[in-house]
Amino acid sequence: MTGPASLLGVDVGSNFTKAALFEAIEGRYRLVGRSQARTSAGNHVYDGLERACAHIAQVAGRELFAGGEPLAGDVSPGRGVDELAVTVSCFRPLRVLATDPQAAAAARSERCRVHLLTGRTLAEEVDSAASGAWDAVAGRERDVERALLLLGVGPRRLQSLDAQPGTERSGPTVRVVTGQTGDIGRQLRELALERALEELPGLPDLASAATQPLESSAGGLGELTRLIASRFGLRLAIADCGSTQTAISRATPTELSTRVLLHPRALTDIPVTEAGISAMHDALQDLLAGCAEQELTADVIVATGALARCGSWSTPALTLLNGIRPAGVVQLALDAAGIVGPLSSLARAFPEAASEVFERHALTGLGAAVCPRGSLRAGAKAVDVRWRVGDRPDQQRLIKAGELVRLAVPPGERVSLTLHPSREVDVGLGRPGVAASATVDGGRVGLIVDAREAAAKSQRRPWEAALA
Amino acid sequence: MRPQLELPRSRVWRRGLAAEGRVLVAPGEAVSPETIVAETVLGARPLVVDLGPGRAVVVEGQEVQAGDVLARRKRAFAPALEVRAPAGGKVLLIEGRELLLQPPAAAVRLEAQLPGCIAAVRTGWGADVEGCFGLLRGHGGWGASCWGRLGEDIVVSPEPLSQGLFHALASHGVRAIIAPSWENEPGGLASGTSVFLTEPVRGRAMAPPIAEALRDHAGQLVALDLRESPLLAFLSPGPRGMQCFGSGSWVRTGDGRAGRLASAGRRQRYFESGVIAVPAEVDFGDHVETLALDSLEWVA
Repeated sequence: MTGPASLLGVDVGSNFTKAALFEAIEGRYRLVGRSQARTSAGNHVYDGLERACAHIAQVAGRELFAGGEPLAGDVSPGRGVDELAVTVSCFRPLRVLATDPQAAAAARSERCRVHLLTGRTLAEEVDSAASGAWDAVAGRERDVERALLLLGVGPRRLQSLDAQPGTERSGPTVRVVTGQTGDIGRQLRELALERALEELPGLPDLASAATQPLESSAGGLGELTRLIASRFGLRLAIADCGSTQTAISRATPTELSTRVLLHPRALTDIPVTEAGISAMHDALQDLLAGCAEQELTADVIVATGALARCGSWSTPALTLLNGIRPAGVVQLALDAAGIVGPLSSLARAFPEAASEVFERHALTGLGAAVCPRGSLRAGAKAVDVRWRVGDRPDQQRLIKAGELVRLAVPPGERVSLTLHPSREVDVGLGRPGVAASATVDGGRVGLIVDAREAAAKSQRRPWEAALA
Repeated sequence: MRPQLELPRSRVWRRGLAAEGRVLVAPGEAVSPETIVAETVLGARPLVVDLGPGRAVVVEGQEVQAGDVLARRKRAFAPALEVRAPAGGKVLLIEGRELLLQPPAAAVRLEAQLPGCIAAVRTGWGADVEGCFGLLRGHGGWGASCWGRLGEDIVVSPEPLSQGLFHALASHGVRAIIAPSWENEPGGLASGTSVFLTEPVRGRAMAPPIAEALRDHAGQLVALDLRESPLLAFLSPGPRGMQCFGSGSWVRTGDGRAGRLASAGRRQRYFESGVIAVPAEVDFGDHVETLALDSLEWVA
């Protein structure tokens, strides 16, 4: 192995700082310890990080902080780590005025409050532009120039006509962000980090102490999703519900998209009762529904962050089905170890380590879900499911429209699945009525067939028993 | 860890311009609340002028004075119809029958807001005023930053703020209202009165230590910074004791209830919900609950 012997991944969130230590043990990267500590606005970032590291240090027998500084890049036995990488999401969301829907979508891939410039008349456009104070204006160059005019901070071409020394008008600092969708996302990510470094106490110190450049949490999650998708040839989605934002990254070996939804109110609760967990997952499924693309298709969906807090495995499975509403056949998994956040910080610089640890520690299989799509009256045949586990005999079950069914297939079992949908129903091929076969893995919940209408997924109480 | 309410001691109140300008004070200088510490010029919101059926007689980029003719339409047997500039400025854009006019930039002056001594200057951007202040981080805010006397110019409502109460207080000319939260979804707040909210959850009363600190400092000067993360500073005659997180601290739960931390565990344990966390006993006055320590916000 040529990579570093020890890596500390850190994710500094708005309410929790998460840290995880990974070490090369017998030629493989493994999770050694993981912890999180509560943080709050205005605190020095080392405050939460030191407490999170103290717990890991105790478990790992390795000193991670000394003299109020993280020990990175200077390692001696039982002291320090080779690499420290950090993602951050505890900064104030960027306020972005987008001049077109594409720019708005690009801005929503980062921690931004996005307002789309609209208006049929100049007066309406001025009102729209003046509805907030903006950190950035994003869109096509010509449209952005016009938006700056509407804001009274431009345009550059007119300012240059009369620029006289000492008479230049200074205005609020608004960053111009133009280019292709990917460029807009990247520039906003850079701007967000610039602002975070200016505003967050201690973040410049942490940036200096880290051995890798800082990255935004949404950017890091995207990088990890892309890495795993390309490494294993998957269509992978990772859904991360934090306290102030929900992010869903979806990647194929060639494409990546990330969506970030800012929460109307911070979710800081760590529920200690069953009722509290149920109420939290109610809120989480609404947040996922607000963030997910319609009829998301993926081979694997991984849930992390608050989604991984649960008393029974069926709770996050139902939250994913109700919130993301995937289409086709998908494996559901949970980051029960809570390491995806810290691991995201390592994905860009240490892909080998990140993918090894992700595969080994970040996936607790919940099972597979078959999510047919098609409009049927309730009670009509949706799909005929036939499955075989190992050498055991074939089993069969007819699933009707409106049903949510759990079939017991324990973890470690491989299932050969054949799906015979009715004429109007698509099982993920994009061709209604066409039969499909697949091999899927069992899991803590089992094999789920979700033939419910979209409207039925806004509530979870009636369905909890079906997956229990 | 820092609490939401930081009791008075020697602290700095940071004053900053929204755009680069000129700082007018020097380190060590004594300031009063009215002292201008920095100034800049900011562009005013552009005006849209309806040109009606007339033809524009100005071009983009042209400077005009208030009353100058912007558009004119000749008529055969009557005086020409004219549209005049409502204000001086620069013509930014002419589109169809609408014209965008940029009024001249206006000077913006930044007051110290609180009495004290200039501890540091950030060239071009602002200064830090040092004094014996308490600080309170807000969970929401509306309106312009301002300062005044607590209980006179800036009033406190310990119970959730209703629309009716807001309008009643605004009609008395108060500059700002410090309230825990809104009672219901606020409607349009077309008023010069600012609002500073202390609680994260709608409908909750003000956490007792915050209400008590504000009551104890009635009549003192208070400053509100409502630009990004709402922050309140109040002047105090003298410093209070040190604050340490532990038994007796005021904390807030995830659903917004405030109570006193009775004790905190040392080791993690399983809860009924299935989560593993360090337990904490919180006394809500009429009962004690065991909660996850990490779910608690330190109030004071």
